[in-house]
Amino acid sequence: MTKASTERDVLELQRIVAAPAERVFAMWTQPELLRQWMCPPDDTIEEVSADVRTGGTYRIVLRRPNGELWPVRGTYRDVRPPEHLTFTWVWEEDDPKDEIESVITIDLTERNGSTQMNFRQQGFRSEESRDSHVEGWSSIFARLDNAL
Amino acid sequence: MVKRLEIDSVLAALADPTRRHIVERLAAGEQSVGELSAGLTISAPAISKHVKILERCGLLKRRLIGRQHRCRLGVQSLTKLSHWIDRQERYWNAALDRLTALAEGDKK
Repeated sequence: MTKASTERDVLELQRIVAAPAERVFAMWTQPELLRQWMCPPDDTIEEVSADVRTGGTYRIVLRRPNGELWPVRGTYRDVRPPEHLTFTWVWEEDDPKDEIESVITIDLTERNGSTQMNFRQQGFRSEESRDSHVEGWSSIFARLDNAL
Repeated sequence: MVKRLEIDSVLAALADPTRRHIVERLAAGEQSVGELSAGLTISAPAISKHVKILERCGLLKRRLIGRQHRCRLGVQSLTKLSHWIDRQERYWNAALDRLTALAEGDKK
């Protein structure tokens, strides 16, 4: 089951996973498991280091099919196994001033052995532009398909 | 990677309904500033301000033909933003599918 929302600066996705919440939580928090899924299938994960506790940090290096390395890092803001995880997500740039921090929240609810996983990524832009109440710009892309 | 300032200025420009309207018009092809403002109930100086903001972030390209400014869409600027947004969603959709398969595959 998939639900996507690109309203404003929030990306919301949902999955029902036929596995207990503890298993799903481990997927997000154990480096050897993270390594096996946390990128699109064409990419590979070169290295993972994660200190999974509130205030701890992580760093993941992706290898793109063209050989480029894309490091991402962040800080765990809230770690409550097996149902809640909040962490920041920052693609590293040559100049730290260019980096955009977003916040990812994972909520897991187990029912009858299956887990509903709600993924939410928020804050793709600076405070300044978020305050301008951006609405409807994403629909522009649908209308501009021909121009692009 | 697309740089922060570039993305921010494009998003800020598109935050305004009048500017979104102008961008949508530009998608139809090159137009004069006068043509762009047809149907909009705002003053010429206001249009000019919006055009300048769009020009600054690269969403609008302007050239002078005779005495007339012709405007067209800065496709590259829009493409960069579009790719950047798509990348977030594609990335996580693909990754979450893999997580699901992995979690379910190993539970037996």
